[in-house]
Amino acid sequence: MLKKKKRTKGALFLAWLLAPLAAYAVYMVSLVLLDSFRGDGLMLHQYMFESRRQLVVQLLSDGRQALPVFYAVTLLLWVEITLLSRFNEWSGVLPALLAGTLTAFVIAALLVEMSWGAVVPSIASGLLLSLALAWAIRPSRSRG
Amino acid sequence: MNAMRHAAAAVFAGVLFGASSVHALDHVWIVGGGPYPGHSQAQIEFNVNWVIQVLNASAGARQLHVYYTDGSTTGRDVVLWQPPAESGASLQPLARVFGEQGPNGERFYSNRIPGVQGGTEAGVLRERLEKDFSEPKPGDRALLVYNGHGQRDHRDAAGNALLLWNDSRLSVREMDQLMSHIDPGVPVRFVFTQCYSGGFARLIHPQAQDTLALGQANRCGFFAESEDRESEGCSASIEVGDYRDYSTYFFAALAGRTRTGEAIGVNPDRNGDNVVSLYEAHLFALSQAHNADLPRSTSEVFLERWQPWYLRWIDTGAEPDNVYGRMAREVAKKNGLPESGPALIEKMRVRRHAMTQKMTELDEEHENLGREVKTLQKEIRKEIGLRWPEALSPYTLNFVQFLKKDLDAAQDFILSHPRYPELVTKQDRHAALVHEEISSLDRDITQLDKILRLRNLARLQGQFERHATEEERGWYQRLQSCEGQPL
Repeated sequence: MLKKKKRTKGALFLAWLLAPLAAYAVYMVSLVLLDSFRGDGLMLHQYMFESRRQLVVQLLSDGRQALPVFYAVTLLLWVEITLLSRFNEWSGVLPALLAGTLTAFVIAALLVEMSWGAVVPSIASGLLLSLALAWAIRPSRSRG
Repeated sequence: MNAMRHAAAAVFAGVLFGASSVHALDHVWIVGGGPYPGHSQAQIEFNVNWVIQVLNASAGARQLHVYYTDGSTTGRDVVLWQPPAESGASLQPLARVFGEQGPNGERFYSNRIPGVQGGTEAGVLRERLEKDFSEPKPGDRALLVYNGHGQRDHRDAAGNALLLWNDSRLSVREMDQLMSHIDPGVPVRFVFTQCYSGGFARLIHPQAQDTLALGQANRCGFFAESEDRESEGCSASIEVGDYRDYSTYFFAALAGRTRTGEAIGVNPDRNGDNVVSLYEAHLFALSQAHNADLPRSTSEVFLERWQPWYLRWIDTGAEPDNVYGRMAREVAKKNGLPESGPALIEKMRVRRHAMTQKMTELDEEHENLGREVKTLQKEIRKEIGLRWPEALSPYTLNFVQFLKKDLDAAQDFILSHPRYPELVTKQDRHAALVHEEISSLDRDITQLDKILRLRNLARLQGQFERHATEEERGWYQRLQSCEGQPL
């Protein structure tokens, strides 16, 4: 019992610590892909033909501002998925993924822009976050 | 009674307006030249003369302050380059063998800038500007034009500097301190055309810091390049084909004619108010120049600095219909590319690939030729050394005696050397690669960069309109209003 509790806490801690970082990485990779295949290819252009140092400085500076937002969204999703897990018919990975998708979509569409470029990376990172949280929260059900 | 009141009010307004227009004065500072004679190219002198001509021909009361290299002293502070004759009389055979064929075409003379008030050595210039900058009164306007060289600070753009006479420097931070002597009510415009000039965009922020907020002073400006790129236009040659730098196009738009006196083909007055503002002149230079510069204005730099992380890379294929979007299409069309859409991006990708490949080939050829030229020079020099050992010790009495006694014989020997024609061909090709082919290709590649930059600015402006706060809009409008003033 104690072992299970420890494992649950460990999984949650890991999800809390790493999931926002991984989600931000997924967000950036989605942006690179969209920029390369549906946009002007500015990121690759800057990497290949302009100042790489400036690109790195910009990414680090952006990362500093973005990560608190990703941690805040993780908290929001954790609350949502925990609440959903209390209802048997809404517990599990699929409802968590749905919650992640919808939350990410609403945040991107309302706070950023209603466009592919804003919505797709946001949903991709939302999906990853909700998957990680669903995995972390699920063992807690075995306590009851 | 009412009619009388109206008449009195009209007279009073007329007196006020008249008074303000009498006292309003434009203070213009022109600072130019290189850090030492060999680096103070004739093209800079020509540019400064052109700027003075344009200013003198334009309407309005204006007080010019001109500072140039060593000032009005008679020292030879300008270098002019012309291809030397291929004859013994010009010493070109000897110069070719000793690797001085380029400098052999240089001639030095004292600058011919009218009304120079002083030199540009940093200490002296600082004192003069400090005094000058306290002169403008509220209602006046200030304009600073710099034409010369610049230096980059890799750690901080506020450390970028003007390279002034006697190898002295004046950094962005120092310029900010100097400009703080100007009354905050006076709009201060500046045009910086040197390498790494974009660093001077920091002058709009308090203490030249890397912040978004604008300082109290009403400042705005235009730059030939970003804070980390070199600019074009420091040639010692006076060929008309070398008239390509930012100031050439910028002041052509304001003058309504080119530096060679021809009418400009495109109307720079984009808003149709019959007055060409500095911003419109900047847009003209941006769209019409075929050079290796990517110019920018303070309002554009502000937009780039403003962009939040969550908007930075999104929808990079969007094509808003604003001034920058239209200019992107103009530049694309001018360069024989589709005006917009995925077809444009694909064509640009293909063209860039071909151009960068060509550039690599040219760079390789340049490097190989350099090596071959050195080998040939070494071979011929060795044979000269066996016959006239004095020739190998320049800056000595021996060398002077060699010039007096054996110069003709030595040059005849060089001219009749079986490998000399090969040396000439390779050296000429080596020079042509740098000055013509590589430069020309660099300019073509820059046109692609320009289209990308204009498209990005178009999106940025669109994002700014949708997302900026009231305070940010206020700052942007202040910059636009300052940039939008005529000369």
